Amino acid sequence: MVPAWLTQLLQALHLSIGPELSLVLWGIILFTGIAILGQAAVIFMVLMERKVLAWLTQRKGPNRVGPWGLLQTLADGVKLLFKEDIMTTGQDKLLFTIAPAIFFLPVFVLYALIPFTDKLLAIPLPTGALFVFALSSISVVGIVLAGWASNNKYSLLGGMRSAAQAISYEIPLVLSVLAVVLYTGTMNIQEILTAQNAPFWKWFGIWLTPVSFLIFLISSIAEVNRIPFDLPEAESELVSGYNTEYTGMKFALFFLAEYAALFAMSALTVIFFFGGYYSPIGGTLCHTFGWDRAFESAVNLPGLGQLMQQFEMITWGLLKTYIFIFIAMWLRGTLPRLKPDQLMGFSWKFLIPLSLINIFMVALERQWQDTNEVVYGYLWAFVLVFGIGGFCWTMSRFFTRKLQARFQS
Amino acid sequence: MESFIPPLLMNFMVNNNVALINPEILILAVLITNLLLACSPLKKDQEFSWWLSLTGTGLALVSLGILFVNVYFPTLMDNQITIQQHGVMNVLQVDLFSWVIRTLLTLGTFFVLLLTRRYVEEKASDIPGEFYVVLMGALLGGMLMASAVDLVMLFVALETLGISSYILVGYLRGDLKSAEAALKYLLYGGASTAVLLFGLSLLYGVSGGNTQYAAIADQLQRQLAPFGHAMMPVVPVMLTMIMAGFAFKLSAAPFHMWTPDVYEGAPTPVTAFLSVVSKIAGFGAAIRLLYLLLTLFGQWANVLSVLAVLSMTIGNVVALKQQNVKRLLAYSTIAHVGYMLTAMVVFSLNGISSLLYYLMTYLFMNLGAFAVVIYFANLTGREDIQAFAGLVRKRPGLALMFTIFLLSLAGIPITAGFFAKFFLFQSVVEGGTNYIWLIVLGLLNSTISLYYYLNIVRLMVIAEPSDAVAALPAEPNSIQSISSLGVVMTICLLATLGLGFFANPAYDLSVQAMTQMAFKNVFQHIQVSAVPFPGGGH
Amino acid sequence: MTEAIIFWAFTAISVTAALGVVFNRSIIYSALLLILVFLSIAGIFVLNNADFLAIAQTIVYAVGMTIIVLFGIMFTGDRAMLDEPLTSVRKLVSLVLATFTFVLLIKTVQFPFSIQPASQSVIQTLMQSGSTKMLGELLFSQFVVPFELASVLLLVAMVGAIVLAKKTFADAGEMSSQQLSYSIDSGEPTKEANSALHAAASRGEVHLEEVTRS
Repeated sequence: MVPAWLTQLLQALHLSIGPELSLVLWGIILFTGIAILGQAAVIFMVLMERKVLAWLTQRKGPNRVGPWGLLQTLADGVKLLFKEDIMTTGQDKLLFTIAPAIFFLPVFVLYALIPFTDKLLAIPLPTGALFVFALSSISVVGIVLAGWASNNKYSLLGGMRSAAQAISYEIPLVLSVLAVVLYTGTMNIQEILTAQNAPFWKWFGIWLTPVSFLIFLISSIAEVNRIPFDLPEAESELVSGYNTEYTGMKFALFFLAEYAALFAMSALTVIFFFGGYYSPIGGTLCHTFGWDRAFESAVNLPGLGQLMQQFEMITWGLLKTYIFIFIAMWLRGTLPRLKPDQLMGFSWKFLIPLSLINIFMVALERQWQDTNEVVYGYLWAFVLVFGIGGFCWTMSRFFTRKLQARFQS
Repeated sequence: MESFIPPLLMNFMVNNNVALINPEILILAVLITNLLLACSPLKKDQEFSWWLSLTGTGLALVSLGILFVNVYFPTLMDNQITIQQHGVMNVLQVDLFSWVIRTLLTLGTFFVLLLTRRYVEEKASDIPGEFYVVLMGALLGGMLMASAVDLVMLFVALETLGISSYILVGYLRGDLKSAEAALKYLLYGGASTAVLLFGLSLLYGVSGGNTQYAAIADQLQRQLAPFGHAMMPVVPVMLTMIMAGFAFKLSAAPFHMWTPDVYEGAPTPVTAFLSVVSKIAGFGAAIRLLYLLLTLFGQWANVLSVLAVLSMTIGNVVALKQQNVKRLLAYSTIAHVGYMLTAMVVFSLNGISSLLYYLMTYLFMNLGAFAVVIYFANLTGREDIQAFAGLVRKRPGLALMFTIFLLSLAGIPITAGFFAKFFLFQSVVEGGTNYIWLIVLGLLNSTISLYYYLNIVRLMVIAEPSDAVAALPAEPNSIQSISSLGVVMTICLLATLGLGFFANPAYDLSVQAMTQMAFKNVFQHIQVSAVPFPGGGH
Repeated sequence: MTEAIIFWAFTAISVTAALGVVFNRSIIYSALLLILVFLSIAGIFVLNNADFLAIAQTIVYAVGMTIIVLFGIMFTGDRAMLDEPLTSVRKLVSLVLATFTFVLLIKTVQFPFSIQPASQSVIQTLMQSGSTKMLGELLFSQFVVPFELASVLLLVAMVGAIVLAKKTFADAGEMSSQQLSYSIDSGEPTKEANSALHAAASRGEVHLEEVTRS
């Protein structure tokens, strides 16, 4: 856990702080590094979003500041730094100030729980898979407070919507991961990843529960308030909702945290369903094909192969993560916004029942594998046919009734 | 069929006596079927869920009967106190005592279902199916409460009954009184649950982290008694909180404030349910837990005597001024709880057995009275006492039945109510001279209660017909008038008289049940050789 | 040593925040401090190796429940609590009772609770793989009946909540979008406003011209 060089360094400095504190120190060092890199990722993502959206809508996107507009985000950041910090008289000063921080903080702590390689994980927790959701749920409080403290009707509405939305979509989000946890029998994120150390068709999102993956994808987009679920900040109806009244750095905090949350959620999608930092054939390419050993002996530098593996893992992880970030941007460029009742109905009436059926099926699958009794297979097929069939039937009835009602009125 | 049950599950079920909770499983099945029915598009007529619940409850009764014949009757026959394990999953003790309580609960719910039929259809017609779901949930909670021998089990069962009751009380959505009643019940109930839970958590701590009654008894005996820790502040705080929590649930004074309002506002069948089923379930759980605690902390029974006296007195005195029948019956319930608590004060074998017998009779007489009130309200739409005036001129049968139920509630001879009070006070006498004052107060209170019970009888027989009664049509054709309410009234009437005539077998059954419960629950684990029952008795 | 420091820090935070919950005039600050109380108690849980409990506490209490509370406050408006004279009889009685209860509770916790410490192997497992697995095993073996009953309880409670809150078909049509827009557009902010929108405006008229520079 604590790398040897840190222990040696501490010994060299004559600091004997014991194993516990040195673990904490290592965690802090890692977290700081990851968080700073996370900021960089966010800055890149903002540019990426603008470019992708421009590409989708056949525009050019930012192309003035720096080559191909690369420095656009930096310029925007600097601009935000120098903006006037406006506060109106009716606002609750304290809450107005701390709300962005409450929103921002948990999202960045999330980075500490995301493994980038099998060694690069700031806080290895036995209950990590649950803890990430506990953290991401805290940031809702920030939005609600921002809406309240702004003393603005639209902001308040945005805050309320956000709270309702976050609570509703947290349930399918956690339930979909529950299927994975049920199957692997652990909530340790590293162990979940180890279980997926296999060729890509054995990743959970592909062979175990594609349903879970889809539910997770949809709910995670709702959790980070993006189109088509961006009702809390719908600019055309709520003039940006909870952050209407925010300017300057406070606004920048909201802005940063939203992209950071998108990054974290995409990374979690990859971790739970797409093998995290593993290559599509399992393990790492350079180790499987022996490149690391070859390179190590060629350059004659011990430990280099290990380093190569680590870098490859980071690359795979980031690559997959950015694919999902791209999907989120793609959705933004494509889909219209939902209505509030559609949003709620979709979660409570569609996603939650579906994820419950899904959990049941995964449990049977697991039991089937463990006991090798064919009864569970029959049951599985039964649930597949009647559960999913009944679900689809109910859904179709539900939606046709809605359509009929609309035509009648 | 059996091949479909995995062997692991089958073994589990056999090893853990799961067959003993068949009635509960049946009720659960009814609950789920009802729920699926209520949400399925197949639902066409609302009567079906009623029929389903009624059949399910009836089947549960049959299943209880089968259990009695197969399991409990043999143990009754050999006069030895057989310490036979009736444990299910270590959290339930499904012995004869719990059989009696569960049968009473199921019977009560069966009657309440019969009372309900018209009511739900007329007053809450757009969502009837769910009513039965919640009712079944309440019954399930109550039944498991009666056999719980684990703090976790007790609490979850208690809450199942509680929360279902809050929902049932607020079921008339357009009705402001119903909403008020539900809110009051929820708030009082929530607060009392918190108090109870705090007490239970202290018990958990004091007993060294055990949740099972047997282990708690064992640990308390070993830890507290030798070192005199019984006098440490934790014990009074714990016992006060637990007793206060139960007193709330049983609506014993001074924790009775919610009762009249809730009883008045709730739909009348629900009031009947609350006053009978949840009281019986509450007593079932309280007897089990307090038996354990009072065996160790006998002197704390005196706290119960304060509760008993206050309940009797407040219930009876305030009932004198009531104008609404439901409120009157609420105060009468409080008074009856007071009588029943005197048995807990003495805490002898006979005392608790007579309490069990009292619960049996109370089920029939109180439900019968409620059936009459509902029948009358269906006829006239009135619930005030004055409306009953002159009922004997128009509906002599109804008036006669109401009279008998009221006389039984007042404790007039030949009715079961008399014998119930008789056994109860007798057991208190046996408890020693310390409790003479309790009997005196109890008898005084019975006399007071005569006034308001007989007042209704006087009105019905002597007074001129009220406008509601006068407006009643002539007696309908006798065949047509047999409704579900009529069935309830008849059965309750027969049982009220029958339990009086055959008081001895019923009393013997409760003695047996109590003996089994007491020995299995506590004395198996505590070596109390000489004096098995605190406070004397057998 | 480290543990002791962390424990006392969490304790201090939770007690201070709890006092803040009680003494704060603004109900919304009370709700926020409540979150802090829950979070610091979750911290104490973590110190006792009860990681699952801590996370459940965070999700259910610190966020889920307080969000509902915040909802309630925002819909009904954050009015400062009514001033009651300090000498009112009610307050005195409450003070005496509260003091008595407090002393009693202090006495209560002095009881030598003898909950047996977990064995070394259990502690080892807790440190390495968390308490989740143990909890799960316990829930599905010893406490399976209460566990299943709890699911029935939640089911019944949910059904009941829906039944009680559902609009009847009769008044479903009354709440139209017209009403909603009316409540958004309705004229001057009033002090006795009880809708969320009025509540937002009731804490002082919004004048965008008077901006403060900070």
